[in-house]
Amino acid sequence: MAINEKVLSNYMNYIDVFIILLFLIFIAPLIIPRFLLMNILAWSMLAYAFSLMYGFLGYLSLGELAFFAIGSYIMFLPLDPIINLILAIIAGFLFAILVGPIIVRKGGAYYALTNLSLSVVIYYLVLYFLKDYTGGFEGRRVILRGVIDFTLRDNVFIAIVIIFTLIFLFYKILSNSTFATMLKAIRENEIRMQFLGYNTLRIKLLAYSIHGGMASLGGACLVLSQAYASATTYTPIFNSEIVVASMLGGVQSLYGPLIGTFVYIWTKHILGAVYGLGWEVIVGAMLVIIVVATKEQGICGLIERLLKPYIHVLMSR
Amino acid sequence: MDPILFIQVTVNGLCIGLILALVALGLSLTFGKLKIINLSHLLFYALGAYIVYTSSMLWNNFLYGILIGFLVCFTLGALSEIALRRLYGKSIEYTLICTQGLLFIGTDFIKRIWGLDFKAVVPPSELRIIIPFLEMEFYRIFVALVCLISFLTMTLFFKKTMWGKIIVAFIDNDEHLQAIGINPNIATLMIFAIGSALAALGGGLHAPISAPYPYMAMEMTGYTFATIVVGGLGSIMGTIVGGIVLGLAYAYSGFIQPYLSPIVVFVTMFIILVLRPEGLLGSRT
Repeated sequence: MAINEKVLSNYMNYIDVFIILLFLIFIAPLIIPRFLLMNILAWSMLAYAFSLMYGFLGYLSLGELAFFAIGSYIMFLPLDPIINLILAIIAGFLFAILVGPIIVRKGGAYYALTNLSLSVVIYYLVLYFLKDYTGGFEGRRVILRGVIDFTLRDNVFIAIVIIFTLIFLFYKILSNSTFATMLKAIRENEIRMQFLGYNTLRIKLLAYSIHGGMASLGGACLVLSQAYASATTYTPIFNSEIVVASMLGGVQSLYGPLIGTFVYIWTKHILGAVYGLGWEVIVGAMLVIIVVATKEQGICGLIERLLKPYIHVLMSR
Repeated sequence: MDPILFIQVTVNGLCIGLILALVALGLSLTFGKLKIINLSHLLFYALGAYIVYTSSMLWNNFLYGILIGFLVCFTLGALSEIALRRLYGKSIEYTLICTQGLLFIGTDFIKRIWGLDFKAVVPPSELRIIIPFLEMEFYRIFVALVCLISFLTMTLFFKKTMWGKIIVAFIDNDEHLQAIGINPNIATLMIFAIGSALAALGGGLHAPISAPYPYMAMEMTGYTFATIVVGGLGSIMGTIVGGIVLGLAYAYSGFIQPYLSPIVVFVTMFIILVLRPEGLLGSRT
């Protein structure tokens, strides 16, 4: 593991993870309400999972909520919440391995729509056929009391911030690794990768299952923050919101999904409170303007492009 | 199963499937040929349904609403092509995001104009007569007939008229069309206008069966995508076949258990995608 040692020894590269942790714990609760912040963090884990597949591999999915739902309803198992969190990762991972060989065969519309059908199937299973367990439309409350008492809001908040930071750290290490390079190579030319001797299906399957684990951990965190889950959260229509939130921030950049989810959910909440039913026109207009103005790079891409000359100066010193 | 019940369910399925095909036709042509996902196309479906509602409220007339919706959406579709023209040649995700934004804006306008609640639309009394023996409303058969007639008209339009031939030629080979000396913008304009008008027709016919509400456009998105993928991208006949297959699957499974029908529709799409990724009647390239 020579590469990993090199990556980890250069700890100054990871100073931003630490800054984000401190920011989320001490400064962010002053700006936005804490329940909203926990919501944003849970959804941004899903956005990171989405951009793992879309940013590196170029596979756009319209069914991320399938994994989100799996992770959420794992939290209802009558076990210790911490064990449930770990089980959520494993369940998402295993489910992705189970369905992955069919789904990741092709990109484009094939991948997007097979994921969508997965999401629809899971939504209606949750809504009706597993109603006794999930609570269906009305939802169910869950009391999260184990080794750590998650009924206290402070504990929940710290736990979600730590989980998010770990996911962010994982994503950052992943984006510097050879694995990410292989995914990018598959995006550019898959047949060429096969000629080089790589089993591309296996690489894509691994990426897909990692994304499944991340997404279902996000779902588990959503239940952890609310102690409640209703099937309406996983309505297949909302799948496009994940795409929108990630694209808003910029899927290619590291902070993009976090910032995109933050902007999207925050504006939605604020505008929903201020204008009542008029939030959609503003979100829609914002979306079109930002995507057109930044040429698909999102907010982060735009900032990076603007700061590029200055960063270059800083790096050279 | 009781044979009369079987016929009822089958007619229901055909009715839903043909409406799906009507709505999906424009989307199929734009997605298959122009390579843009035009989610704002679904707005015309909602608009058609709401115009029918308005006309049945104001003048107590159902058919005027369908006619007005057809004409209004024909014009608006042509206008939307002029706005969306700059999306040609961009990546498919880019078009998805932009048109998603337009869908949001349009949904908001619908909410502002017509309000949030479900609207009930009553079909005209002469179409509400109950057929003896079958014990079902004539309206469902009327819907199926209107859809079939409009598809027949479309086929004749594509085969016999100059405008239709331009569109077919554009779908087949747009560079060749340009070489002959015809502006391909005419063809794209016609595709958008006709597709939107047909979506409005589908929405108008669907309004009495399902009550119009602001999010009906978003709810329809998944089904129309399933339709065009099952039938084959960019194929007119394929869209009809896809719509009928999904409509029948929807109706038969909904007869067994209402919540089963979306699952069966999307599982059908999944299986067809896995077995034939280019769709039932799509060309294998």
